[in-house]
Amino acid sequence: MKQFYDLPKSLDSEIKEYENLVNDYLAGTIPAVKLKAFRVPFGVYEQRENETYMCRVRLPCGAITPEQLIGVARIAEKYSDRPLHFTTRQEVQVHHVKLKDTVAIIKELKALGLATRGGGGNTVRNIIGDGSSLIEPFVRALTTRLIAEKDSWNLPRKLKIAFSGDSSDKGLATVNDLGFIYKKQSGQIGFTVYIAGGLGANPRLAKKLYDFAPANEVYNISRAVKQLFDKYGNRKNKHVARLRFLFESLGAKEFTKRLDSELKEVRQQQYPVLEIKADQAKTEELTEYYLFLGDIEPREVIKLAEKLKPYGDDVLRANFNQNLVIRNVPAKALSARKVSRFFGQAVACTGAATCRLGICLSRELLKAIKEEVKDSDLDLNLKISGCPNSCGQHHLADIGFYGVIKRFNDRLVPCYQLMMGGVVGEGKSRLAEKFGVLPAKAIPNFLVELLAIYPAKREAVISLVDKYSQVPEFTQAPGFYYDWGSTQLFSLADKTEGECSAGMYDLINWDFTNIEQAIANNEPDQVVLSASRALLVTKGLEPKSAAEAVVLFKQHFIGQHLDSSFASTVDKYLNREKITLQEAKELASAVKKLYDSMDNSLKFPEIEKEVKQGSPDTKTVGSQASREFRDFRGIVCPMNFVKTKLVLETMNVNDQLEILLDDGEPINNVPASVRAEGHEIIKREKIDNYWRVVMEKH
Amino acid sequence: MSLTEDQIERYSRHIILQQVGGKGQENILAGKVLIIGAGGLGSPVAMYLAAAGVGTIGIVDFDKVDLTNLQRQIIHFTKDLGREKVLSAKEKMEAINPDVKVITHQLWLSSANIKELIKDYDFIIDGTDNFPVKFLINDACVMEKKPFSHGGILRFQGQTFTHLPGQACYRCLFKEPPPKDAVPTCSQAGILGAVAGMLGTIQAAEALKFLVGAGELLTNRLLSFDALTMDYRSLKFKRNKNCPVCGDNPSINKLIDYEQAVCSL
Ligand code: HEM
Ligand code: SF4
Ligand SMILES: [Zn+2]
Repeated sequence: MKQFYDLPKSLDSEIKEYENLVNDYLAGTIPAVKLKAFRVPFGVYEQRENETYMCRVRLPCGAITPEQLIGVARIAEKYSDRPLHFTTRQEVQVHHVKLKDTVAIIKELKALGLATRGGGGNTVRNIIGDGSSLIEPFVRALTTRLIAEKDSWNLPRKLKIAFSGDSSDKGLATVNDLGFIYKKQSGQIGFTVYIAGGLGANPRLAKKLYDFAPANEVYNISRAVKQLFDKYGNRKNKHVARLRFLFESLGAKEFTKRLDSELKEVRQQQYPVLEIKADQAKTEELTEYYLFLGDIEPREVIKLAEKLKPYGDDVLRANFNQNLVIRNVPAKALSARKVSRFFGQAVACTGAATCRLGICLSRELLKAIKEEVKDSDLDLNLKISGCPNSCGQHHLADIGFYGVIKRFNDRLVPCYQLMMGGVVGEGKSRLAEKFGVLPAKAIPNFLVELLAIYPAKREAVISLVDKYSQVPEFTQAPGFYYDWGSTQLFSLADKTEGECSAGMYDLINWDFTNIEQAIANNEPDQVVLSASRALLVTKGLEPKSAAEAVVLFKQHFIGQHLDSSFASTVDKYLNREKITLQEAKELASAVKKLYDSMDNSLKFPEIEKEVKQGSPDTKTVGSQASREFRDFRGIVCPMNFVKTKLVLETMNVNDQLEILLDDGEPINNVPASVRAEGHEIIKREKIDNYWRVVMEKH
Repeated sequence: MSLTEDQIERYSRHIILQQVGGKGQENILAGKVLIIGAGGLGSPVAMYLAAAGVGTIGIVDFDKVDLTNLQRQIIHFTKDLGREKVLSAKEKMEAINPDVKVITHQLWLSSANIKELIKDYDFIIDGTDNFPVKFLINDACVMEKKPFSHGGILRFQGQTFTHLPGQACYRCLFKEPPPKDAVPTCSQAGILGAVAGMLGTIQAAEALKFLVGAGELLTNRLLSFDALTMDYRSLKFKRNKNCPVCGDNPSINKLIDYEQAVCSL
């Protein structure tokens, strides 16, 4: 069976190792993290719904034979009840499968000549290309070579490589970690080489590394870049680990110097040059087969692939728009698709429905847009990401969106940042610019108006954004506080505090912006409120009111990460006493400093406790009974009671403790247990889906 | 001392108990208990005290693990045959709970070393089964004012009481060891393995109650049971004014090494 890359010899033993880990995990003898460390680089991701997984299949340049595609579709039919998904990185994914089945899936893929290895994690990812037959042989040969090398699997961060056949750079070489653009110079074949670009939450355009490198250097350069990255990349802080950050931290000169010395070393090793099996260059007819959201039912894909079989092995590509491209098959042999150009080209990442880092339900937004806009044949790229990580490539969009959280009227609202004007092309690549934030619910109507005046002047867009950016009070239009396709109030509750939950940073920065504004307006109360609220998300705390924010802040930060002397400032806020701007500013700058010292697992340094618990100082402050607050939501029985009890033990008789508890078992059990120990329950009240309980120590 | 998140979780079922709570658990973690004998009684005591988080546990035994031990000395495994009992015990205790510091004392107890040994501990467990050592432990603890738990087992029976300074001691009940060979040792008489567990866990519970300061200890009471009938009896006794060691005019002022009939349960 024809295949577009060779599987590494080690794959068998790696699959065996993966299988053992899966079995051990399922038998409960190893922790999840141990499996995860192997699973993710193996291209098996956990989806948002616990214990459901997806397998990402490597397709260099998106190339797959009809026969392989039929095989993948049959796998999806067997193990999944979801459509196949084609990604913006030219891969195909089997979604919603059981962990147990991922082993069988990987084995069956292997029989088809396909691998998931390197689909995720800090690895050399799927190498992408624009479909030109000039570059594809290089992509295949480089893939075959790199995936056989052990050091491709444990890099400081992922390494993304891209190829383009010409300077229009349809292969995105100028926005990847390492990019090659085909170039012929005095009869010699070679490439212009770009380095250290990339999308993501901190995107960069790539820099030109070599104006011309001969074709026989492609492997050496790739190897040298990999070695350099491996040696010097930042393994400690994932946020600044991509190659572009190494480039920036070293500076262009030092980076090139070190790369040159790696390259020299690589050349000395005299690795064999890539074996290039040139294509018979004949890509005459190209038909884009539009998929809405990159999804296609296995049944449909099998029908299509059967139809393509007679035309040969090399007739299919997946492209960046999550579509299929059919080549060298007369268009009339294909039945027309119902998806229009605008929506076929439109891209949405998987979003919060399945991705653990997601903020908004990006696919649901695209569906909602389709409802409103209906069909359009505009040749526009609409690209939507569920969070700033830009899996939907919104920086490259004519009109792009990425999910953010905003707070209105003390509640969280799902919103999107509008990005416009992304351009790709050698020497003219430009990342899309921010044009303002819109509530998710306003976007379809906003787009109807925008498309009507497209291409629009900047001012027109801005005034349109103004018009749609308002969020009404919760009581007037509660719908704004729900995401598209969701019946739950928008919340951060089950977002993983993962390394990429950049939405969190957005929210934090928003509070710091508020602080500056409040200082400028001489509003010390607002400064204290925003300073208190800014970092609560890092601990998964979601205050429902301004006062709760300040109470939670006092509870979780003051005395733990911030000096206890700040307690008097927040107490003034709570007691509605006058706060001077000076003391508000001091609090704000302490919070900012703390934020700067946050590590990449969102933890803060603890301060030395000057006053030990239980010493007279803390116990006899004033003669009044004191009051403590704890949020025990999300803590199951009986740990919630255990923690309640431990707090009560540190308190004096007649002191009050206020706790938050989940509905169900916790509210049924904890107050009763507290009472059984002789304390008094003063108040129980239900707020949304949780409870507030106040008790007095006896 | 304040509990870590891990500790709160590990000891949650203690903390929930009204009589224990966070403070009681902290006392346990700060506690130091010496277990004399890593045999039938010492095994369950060591395991439960380790699991409970007793901060420092000393364990005394000179012997090595042999095959006849394994029927009841559950802290030792088949793979430990021939190994020093204290080392075998230490390994298991640390595996149960890394919070615990285990100090091993591989030695024969005698009048020469016992006082020095018990000095640093809050509570002593007598897990031996020979009379000379039981008297030695009793006398030393009385003289050094150390609380201890007495334990004895034979065939299907067990007996135990707890001594606190100023309360009745073992000699208040029995003046001196029975003549050598008058009482069968376990190697001659046999012992149902589970009986060692029944008694050892009572001793462990006494030690924990002592550290937490909860409930009533088995002071001035001899608890005895017969596993054949499962009858438990608690016999009251008082400090004896004429007790040769804890009485008003004690006649024993020096520790005595009685002749030993060797057996370790
Ligand atoms: C560390 C956080 C992450 C970053 C910075 C990131 C970044 C990106 C970027 C920039 C792309 C665009 C493709 C390209 O570079 O050419 C991409 C693609 C993609 N990423 Fe991520 N990603 C992250 C985590 C995830 C996670 C956790 C998932 C899913 C569970 C995910 C799923 C995808 C998918 C499916 C695509 C292909 C887009 C599609 O067609 O659906 N990514 N990612
Ligand atoms: S952009 Fe965000 S939400 Fe979308 S797939 Fe990437 S990480 Fe997930
Ligand atoms: Zn006495």
